[in-house]
Amino acid sequence: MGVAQAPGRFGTDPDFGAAPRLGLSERIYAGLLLAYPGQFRKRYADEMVLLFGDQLRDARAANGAGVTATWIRTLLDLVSSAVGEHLRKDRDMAQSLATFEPTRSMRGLGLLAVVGGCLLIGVFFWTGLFAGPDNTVRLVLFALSGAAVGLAFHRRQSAVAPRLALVATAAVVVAGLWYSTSNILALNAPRPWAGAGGLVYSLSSMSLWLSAALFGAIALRIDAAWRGMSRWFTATARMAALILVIGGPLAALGDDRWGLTDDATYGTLISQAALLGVFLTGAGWALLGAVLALGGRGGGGSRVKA
Amino acid sequence: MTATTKQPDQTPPLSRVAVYILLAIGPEERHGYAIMHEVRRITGGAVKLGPGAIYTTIKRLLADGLIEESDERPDSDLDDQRRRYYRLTALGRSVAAAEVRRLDAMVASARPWALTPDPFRALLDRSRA
Repeated sequence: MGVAQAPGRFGTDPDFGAAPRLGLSERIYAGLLLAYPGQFRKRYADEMVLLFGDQLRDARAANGAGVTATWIRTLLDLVSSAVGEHLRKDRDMAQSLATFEPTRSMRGLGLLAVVGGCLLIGVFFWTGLFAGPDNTVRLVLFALSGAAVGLAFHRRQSAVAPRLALVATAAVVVAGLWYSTSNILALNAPRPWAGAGGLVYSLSSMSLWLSAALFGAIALRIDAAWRGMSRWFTATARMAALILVIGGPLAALGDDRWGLTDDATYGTLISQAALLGVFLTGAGWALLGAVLALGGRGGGGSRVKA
Repeated sequence: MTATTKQPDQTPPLSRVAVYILLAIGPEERHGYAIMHEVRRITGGAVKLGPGAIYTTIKRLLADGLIEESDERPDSDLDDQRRRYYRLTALGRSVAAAEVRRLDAMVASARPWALTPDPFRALLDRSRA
């Protein structure tokens, strides 16, 4: 392309030299740039601060009152452009939800969820296969499966409902890490739920099951995680979220510390319900993981609502 | 569709600020400060863009493939090396040319009546005639 001749290569008019060190005004403006989305700020903040500094320098050179006018104009510019950039960011993401193309990391997290979910429900078919330390590995992998799905779907969900998405992801990640840590610490404890320390263990277990239900409920409410998937994958993912909503609370009933399964009248029923809940939760995470790992080639089934 | 295969009429409608910036960059390579000055010059001082308006628009123009960032950095003795320079792409030139043609046609159609002493009377006379 026709690049300008030497004197005009970088623009012909402004007489600019090396930018001076940041003054107080520039530092304040740099702080105000927090109003912009993180990615935008990361890319353009330096240039914006430089430009603001140049404007101030011009204003000071002209007259003192120009500085105030520059500040007022810049603040108005900041508010309007920051709001616009936030709205645009959400709209761009909402538009990209029209297709579901999981990244390699999303597929990897999905695969982890499949393994974790299958290991949890594996004992229903191969009793005694997992015992001692192996069982801890199984439970840790299962606990991390929910966190994996939560992280994999977070960006899609947060594009539609940032706060709800954050609650869902934070719940499964914190619960997954807490339960994993509790299980590793209780590796050699025959009855980890008993005693004073057992309360922490049992609460971590409760949080794991209930966070799964919370995640499923929020995913159904936001209705964004599976947007753009083929019809079958969408149906499977929705069903998996519903399974988590049902399975989580049922599984929580079976915690040994509360003794509900020992109840003389309803103990057997509660025990069966809890086992069903454990199975459903494992299946729910495994199905969502499978959708993440295998989805994306079916084409857009659902339309963007946003 | 990639930027290189787009045609000028396939690009999304440009905002007024985007048009100012495209025209301000023109055939040169310019950074934000130079763009701001050039916009002020070509609009006769009527438009004073702030850093937010300039860089949010630059971001969109980059994404649409209408401008690109120059790989070269200025000599540190002459300028701050953090400055980035932008230039029009071939598509950007085509879009700018299309925009100039559109503005030119608009001005040409308005010139006969808008520059007369009483434009509304002239318009009324034309409609009666």
